[in-house]
Amino acid sequence: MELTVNSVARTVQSPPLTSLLTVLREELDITSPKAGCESGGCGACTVLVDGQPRRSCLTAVCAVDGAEVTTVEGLGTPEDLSRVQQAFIHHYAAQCGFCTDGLIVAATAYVGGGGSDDTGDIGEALAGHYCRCTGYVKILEAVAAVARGDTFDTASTASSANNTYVTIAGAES
Amino acid sequence: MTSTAAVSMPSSEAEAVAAVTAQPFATVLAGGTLLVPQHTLGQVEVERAVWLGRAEMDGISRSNGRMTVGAAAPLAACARLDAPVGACAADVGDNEVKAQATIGGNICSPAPYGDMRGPLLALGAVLRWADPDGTHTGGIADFAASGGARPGVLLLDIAFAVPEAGSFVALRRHHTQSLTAMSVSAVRGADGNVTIAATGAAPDACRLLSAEAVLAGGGSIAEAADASVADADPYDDVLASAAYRRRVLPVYVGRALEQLGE
Repeated sequence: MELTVNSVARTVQSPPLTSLLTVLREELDITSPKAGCESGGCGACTVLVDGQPRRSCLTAVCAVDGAEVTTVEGLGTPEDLSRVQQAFIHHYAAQCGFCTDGLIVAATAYVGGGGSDDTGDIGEALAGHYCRCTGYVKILEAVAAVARGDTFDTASTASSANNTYVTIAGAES
Repeated sequence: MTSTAAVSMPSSEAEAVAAVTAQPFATVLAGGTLLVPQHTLGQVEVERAVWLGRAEMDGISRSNGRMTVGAAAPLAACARLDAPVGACAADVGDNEVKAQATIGGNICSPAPYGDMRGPLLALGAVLRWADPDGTHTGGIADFAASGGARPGVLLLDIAFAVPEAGSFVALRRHHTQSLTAMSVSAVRGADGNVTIAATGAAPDACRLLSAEAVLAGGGSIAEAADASVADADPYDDVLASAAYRRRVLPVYVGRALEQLGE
């Protein structure tokens, strides 16, 4: 089977019923899609198939023969992050990071499809994604900012007013 | 562990029937939302599979007051239909799952999956399926009685009369991927008669004939709702207890009938 993964043509040797998630992680060594629940329930394995978000754990690789698959590695580079990636940094939308890759590709499809900055709409679009850190507010803020057309200065994020750490008395003792 | 099962990719319904019913009988791969993870986790053995993604079995058409839905139509497309089918399809999974899962796959999935059997039972939908003996038609119960989904059997399409009105209510869930503990579908046909079906009231989808009879006899929504319990066979599972199912069924029957405008 032939796939285009992150703009690179790849020939896949895995058997046709192998999940796309397994192919990406174990054959192609692309590890941003996470094997969370492996039953379609958590969203951590989400990738774009021909621009549409799909659960790679539910998708047999034979069903994407000839398709274009995009993971978070294909959205930007460390030097030139995509706007959704920039927004996630700027708004502190990642905590442990396990759900982040799936959310970023799903959010990319959402804003790319003209999604609004209404948090209800965003919540509906991203409803299949679990954040076990429960950092949903920051995620919604980040996606809304992209939908609004905000610009992001990720270089200064670390020193911004958002970056306020609270020291709990006695925590360091 | 992933097997090395071969997968055919037919380009028409006729090719799909031939591929599924050939020896050794093939397992049908539609959206894959249940089969692929089961296969990945080694919970199902697949000797040979047929993928329907290119078989052009995903059409939805309306003609002479009847709707025909191809078995490979994704739930996202079915969600655009009127209630109860559309509302039920919209209630299954999240956007990504709905874009991939098919109505045929849902019908063929065992409880507690198979939410679409509820509205289709209320609509008196006619299924068309193929097996090595030929092509057959029948209702949801007939398909199940024939042996239901198994290697060598291919569900082709589902047809139903477009109702005068339809409604669908389901126990709300905390997350879109959580299974629906109970749902009630109600339909008023062109003849004015109301048919009602539920999922989660019994081990499989069931008609609520006692409630229908109360309505046909001029009874109130409350009386029909109370009568519905007689048709239930409540059971305990991880989603809800039998006692809870027995208690909430009349509530949801009442809501479905109110939504229907009875």
